[in-house]
Amino acid sequence: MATLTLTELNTLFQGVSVTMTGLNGKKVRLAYQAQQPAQEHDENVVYIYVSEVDDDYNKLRDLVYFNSDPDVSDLLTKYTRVMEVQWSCYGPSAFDLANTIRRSILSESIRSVLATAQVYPLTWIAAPTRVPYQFNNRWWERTDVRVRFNVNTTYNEEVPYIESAEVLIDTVEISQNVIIEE
Amino acid sequence: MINVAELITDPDFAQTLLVTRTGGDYNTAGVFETSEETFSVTGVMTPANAKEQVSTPNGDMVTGDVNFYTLQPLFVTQLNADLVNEGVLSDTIAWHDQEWILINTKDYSDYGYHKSVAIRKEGA
Repeated sequence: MATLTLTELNTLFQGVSVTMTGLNGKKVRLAYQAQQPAQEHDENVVYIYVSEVDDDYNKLRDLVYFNSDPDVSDLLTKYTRVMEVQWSCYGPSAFDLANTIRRSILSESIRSVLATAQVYPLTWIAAPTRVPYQFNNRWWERTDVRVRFNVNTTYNEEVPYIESAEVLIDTVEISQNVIIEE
Repeated sequence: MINVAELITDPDFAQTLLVTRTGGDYNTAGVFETSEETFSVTGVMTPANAKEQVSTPNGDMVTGDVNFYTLQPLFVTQLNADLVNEGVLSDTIAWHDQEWILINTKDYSDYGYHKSVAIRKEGA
């Protein structure tokens, strides 16, 4: 698995969210689309927001050179990106949906789906936050839950060899200069 | 009540405006998929706010808004706005080589017209 793009991450998390919540895929939506209608008051809808977060673990780089061509070497860079996914659950079942997500994300069936994309949930998951809000003079139910994931990331690049070098030795008196040109 | 609809179509004030209506549905991947239709309406346009430059770190941007007075209602984003789509996004109107997107509407239909406010769609 190479570097997962935001679109690929959105697709992955939207898919497992449909499985976890049992909602129709139309009700598990990506947040921050350029324009989209919001949900109705009594409609159970989950919005997904994926972002990358800082972590000590995402600073480490594992570099591996290997030779697959006589003219160039391949450089494989492997590291971990840490993603945070926020599920914002709306509607009468918002609180229960958030709890379901928090529990199910660590289930074997969901973890195995994520693992095929080399995405691994961190088990330290904060409690969901219930944040009802007022709109049009009514209270609207909302509960958020956030989970972090280690995302294995690799990318390949070709690194050229130095094919030859010209070595000149200047033997004047005591000094000796060595010039190496690529 | 006084019906002032005739002022909306008065050739001294009125012009033809091109409206793009965007309807759509959420697909099973949670993305709102849209399709557009374009039609003409007759209406009166007036500036609402000045065309204004905003300096940002990534360059100068331009904002501004205008009023449109029409006989028929125009749409801001809403669910179940018609019988075809799950929802529609705010109408856009072409005027003076710019796209303007509706941000609010006022229903004065008891007096024969609708008023809409639209902002520039592009940022520069």
